[in-house]
Amino acid sequence: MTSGKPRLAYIGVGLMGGPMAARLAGLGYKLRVFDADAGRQAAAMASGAVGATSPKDCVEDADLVLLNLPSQAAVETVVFGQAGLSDALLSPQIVVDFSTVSPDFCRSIGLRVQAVTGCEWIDAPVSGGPSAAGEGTLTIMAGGSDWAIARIRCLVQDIGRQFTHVGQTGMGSVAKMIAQLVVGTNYAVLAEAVRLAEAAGMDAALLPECVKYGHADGVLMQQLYPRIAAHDFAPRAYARQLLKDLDMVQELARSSGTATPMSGQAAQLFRLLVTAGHGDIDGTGIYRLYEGAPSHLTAIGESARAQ
Amino acid sequence: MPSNSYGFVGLGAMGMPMVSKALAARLDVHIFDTNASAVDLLVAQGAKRQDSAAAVANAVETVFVSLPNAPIVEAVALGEAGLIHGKRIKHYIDLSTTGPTMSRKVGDAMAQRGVSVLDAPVSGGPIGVRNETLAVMASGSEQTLERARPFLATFAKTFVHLGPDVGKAQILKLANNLLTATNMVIVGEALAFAEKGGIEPEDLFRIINAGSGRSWVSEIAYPKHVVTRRYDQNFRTELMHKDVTLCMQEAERMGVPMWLGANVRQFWQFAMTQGMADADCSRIAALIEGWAGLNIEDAADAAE
Repeated sequence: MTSGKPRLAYIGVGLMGGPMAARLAGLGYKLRVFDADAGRQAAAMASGAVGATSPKDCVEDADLVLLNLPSQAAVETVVFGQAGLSDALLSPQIVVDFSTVSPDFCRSIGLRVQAVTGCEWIDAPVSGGPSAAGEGTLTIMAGGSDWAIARIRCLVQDIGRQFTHVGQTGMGSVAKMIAQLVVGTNYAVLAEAVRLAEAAGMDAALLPECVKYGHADGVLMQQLYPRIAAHDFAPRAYARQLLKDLDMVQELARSSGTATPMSGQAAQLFRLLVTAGHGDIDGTGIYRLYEGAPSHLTAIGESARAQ
Repeated sequence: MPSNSYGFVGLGAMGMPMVSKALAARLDVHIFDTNASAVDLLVAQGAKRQDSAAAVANAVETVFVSLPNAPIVEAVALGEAGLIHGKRIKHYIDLSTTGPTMSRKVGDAMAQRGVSVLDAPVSGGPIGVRNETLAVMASGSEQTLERARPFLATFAKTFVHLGPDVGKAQILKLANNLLTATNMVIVGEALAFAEKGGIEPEDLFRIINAGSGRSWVSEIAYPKHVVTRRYDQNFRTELMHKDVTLCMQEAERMGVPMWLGANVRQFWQFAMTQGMADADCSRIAALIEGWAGLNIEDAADAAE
């Protein structure tokens, strides 16, 4: 690193990566971006980043390579696909993957990248959503070697307000899975709460005030619940994404030899919503399962059949 | 009054064919129901009309009830014009599924008036009555069981007496219905899974029913009422929900954790929120198939 700030390659500038890249560019980081979606890449370039033509093209001259991708398959393609990272990475470059992926996948791709390129892999999934990404107030949990983690500390201070080095590569994803167990299950729990409040005849919007400072209070009660009560299903975290995460939680539980009945049930409820054709609404849309109008059931069936 | 005279209150999906069978066997049956057309139908077959439950209990010594839920049993047995006010009643037999708590409450009140009580829920459904293959699980007075037997034998094949404690038979019945309510759901899920995998329902049931996964639900209910798309099991979703709820309430009272039972109860509750309370319980298969995105022609009608 020649200047004070590391030079960055940023691959995947969508719902989360977009605002994070824009914030870093605004803070004066030298940033090259690549996204398979030209519109997203153009938006990132408009906020001050330099565009690249491929993942391989993106990483030249970078100190740190940042990834923010929607799925494990997308990470695999970016790294080992055509004009992928593995063709260009050179130690001591470090890959920092902010995506939510399974711990097993993370360890596996970390080892494969190290074998081919000698570069270290940090898994650093984030929590907080697009608005926290833009404001630099993300919660970040990371897995990697002490050496690699030391090299990203100044960067993570600029994008998050909470950073925890959990352990070796893969442990950031373990922590994120467990966080998703809590969050994903709570989407369903809070949707139940809203519906029950409505059905029992109270003003559902009053609940966060009712329970403030009590045991049912919390970030989700104050921030997520009001959106459900307002029937606001505009996507911030897609229902299908929450389902994917909850399914990964079940897989982690299986491979760890433990039972997770509550989050397992939440996963089935999200599957019901997604299979019925509502995958692209926000996770708050789990509320729609409880609305209870028969016409709504028909709508679910029809939209599923139309797919 | 001849000793083969009986009273019967509650002429629904079960009571109606039961009384029909008894009449066909030339038994003398005094009936009451708030549904006048049901009464008319049976009077035409030879039943004697009475204008209240108390009137039935004034006419005969042995009275059966077959009613949809606990509050109605309480009203018919102990209410203002209830059986308990009848002058002749000596034997009271409850064929309903109402849970042990109500069964004991009515049993205690009857016993104080010197009426012998038999708690006698049945299993097998209207088809079981028609085929004379119903199973009767009974607890309470053995003498009352003997008085009831000639009537019950006109449509029931299996009798199990569980001893003198009123309410015990209800526990057995709730255990049975917990399984039926569970099997209805899980067979529906297996069906949707197989269908989405391209398997014909006929092939699925041929194999299930030859193997370890079979049950009454897979052998009778689904092939007859779902695969045919007739949805004519003649048992409403609301009643299935009531039975599994009674079971969960009793399990809660007794301290029996039920992992699946709790979920099965939620499933039926959820089906009711989808407008299915009055629908035939077999329609939940179409509901599940619809969720899986299967192109079942009348899945959209499931919420009728």
